[in-house]
Amino acid sequence: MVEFYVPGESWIHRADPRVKFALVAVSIPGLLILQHPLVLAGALLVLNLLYTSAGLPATKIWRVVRTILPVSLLMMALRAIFYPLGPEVLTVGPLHLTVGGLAQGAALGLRLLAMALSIFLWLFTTQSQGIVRGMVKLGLPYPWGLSVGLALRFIPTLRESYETITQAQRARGLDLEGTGGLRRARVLLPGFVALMVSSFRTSENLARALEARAFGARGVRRSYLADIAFRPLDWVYLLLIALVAAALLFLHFRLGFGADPLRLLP
Amino acid sequence: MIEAPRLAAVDLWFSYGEHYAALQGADLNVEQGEFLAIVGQNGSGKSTLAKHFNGLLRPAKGRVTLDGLDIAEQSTGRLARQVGYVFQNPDHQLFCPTVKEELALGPQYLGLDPVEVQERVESGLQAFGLQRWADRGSGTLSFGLRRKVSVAAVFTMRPAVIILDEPTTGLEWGSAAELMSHFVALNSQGHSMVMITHDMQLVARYASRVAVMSEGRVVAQGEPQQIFRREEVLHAARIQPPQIVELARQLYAAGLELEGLTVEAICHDYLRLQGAALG
Repeated sequence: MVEFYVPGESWIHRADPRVKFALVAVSIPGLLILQHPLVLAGALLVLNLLYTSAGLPATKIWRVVRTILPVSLLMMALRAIFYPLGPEVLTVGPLHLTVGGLAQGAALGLRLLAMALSIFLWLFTTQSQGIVRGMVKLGLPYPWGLSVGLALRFIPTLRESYETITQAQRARGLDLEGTGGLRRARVLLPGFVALMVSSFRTSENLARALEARAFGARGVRRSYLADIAFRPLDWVYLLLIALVAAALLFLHFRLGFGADPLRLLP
Repeated sequence: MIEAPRLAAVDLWFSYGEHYAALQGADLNVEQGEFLAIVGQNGSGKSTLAKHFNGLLRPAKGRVTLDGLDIAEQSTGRLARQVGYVFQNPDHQLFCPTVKEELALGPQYLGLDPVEVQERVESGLQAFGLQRWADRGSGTLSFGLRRKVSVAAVFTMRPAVIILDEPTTGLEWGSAAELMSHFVALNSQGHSMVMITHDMQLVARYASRVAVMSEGRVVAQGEPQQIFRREEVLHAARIQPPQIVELARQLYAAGLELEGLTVEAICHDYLRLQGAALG
């Protein structure tokens, strides 16, 4: 895997990167204000539909879920245990599980998944050049946009390096079998150090390579091979996103929709 | 003298992800105390095959045995006692703040007592002429020195079999020759050496046997002498023998019995032939 982008021709792939960014920018605060687990489950369902409609394979959804799920479950458990709310359902030793705690925990876990999926919908369907172009057209200085693109581009590279480095550690006699938790983290530490060192080296070389290819040359405006432009359809998408966002805001702040983890409507 | 085990890979199949089958039924033995070179195009499966010898990769099908015993049950950490692996990029295997600690890391992972670790570090520094840099950070050294540190760090673990993944890439002739002389010394102490390389000069000069890989299989193996004469193999694996070997081969075809693989050996043969002719 060289980047997150999954080639495709779906309407989501063809939508302007800025539209997709708008969706992320609206959905993240949206997901943050909604508290009811069912509403968040609904959001997950909508995202799932969008993934399917974009023709993204189920393995991609699963990859995101698999990465986020452990954190999601952990937050869910911690919330349910440490923030009791409302009537108790179950008492196990010192643990008091409450309806409110469970609902809040579930909301937290689902929210995290939904946020990740909404960001990855954007990343999976947009080429990194598109992401950078979008950011720059939204007013981000070009070097910053490039940084964002490079950061995304290098995540998989970083993971590959990390794999090689842990291989090298094992080849040096590090036995990871039967070690877990803190001990595992401690023995893997040298690997992280090596990863940092090799990343610094890579970034230094990358900077030089960019300069050698005339990055930051004075007195010229860079041109683009594939520029992006809003099509009429993109305005429609944007309008739809704005309408949904407005409707949610109205329902939420006027009618209290999804404001309480236990009741859909007050 | 070190007694190296015999390694055998039998019908190995391995894929990276769904799309790319890197090994498609590869067979290869590493005999006791030999200097084996593995050659072949990029992507022919050389590193993938070599990484199966210490269990870094596990085959989808097929098996690897060490002195006849299947290694499937053994972790890489355990196999590291017997099979060392020097990675292609030294930066991927240097972890420690100083060269000294780097050389100590492997023996420490192996659970050796501090006195033994200290001894091995000293001998490693000495064997590779690294004493001057013992307290330097390996990240601050030149590429050639980092390469040496990465080899020394495997050397201190005393594995009987040492796998070298393109050990001379990026080194100038002098450094490469010096590094190779260390490998020759290790080989003469009984270590089996397995060297992945694109450099046919090295194969001609150092290898006792060469395995040619193409599309995930070992398509030919034998003494470099024989392999360099097999045009169909060279062509299929896109290998170009050293010029001196090619010259000798063509003269051989024309009736001159030149058998050597190095300039010295071929000169020797030639002078012998000429001496006989002048007789």
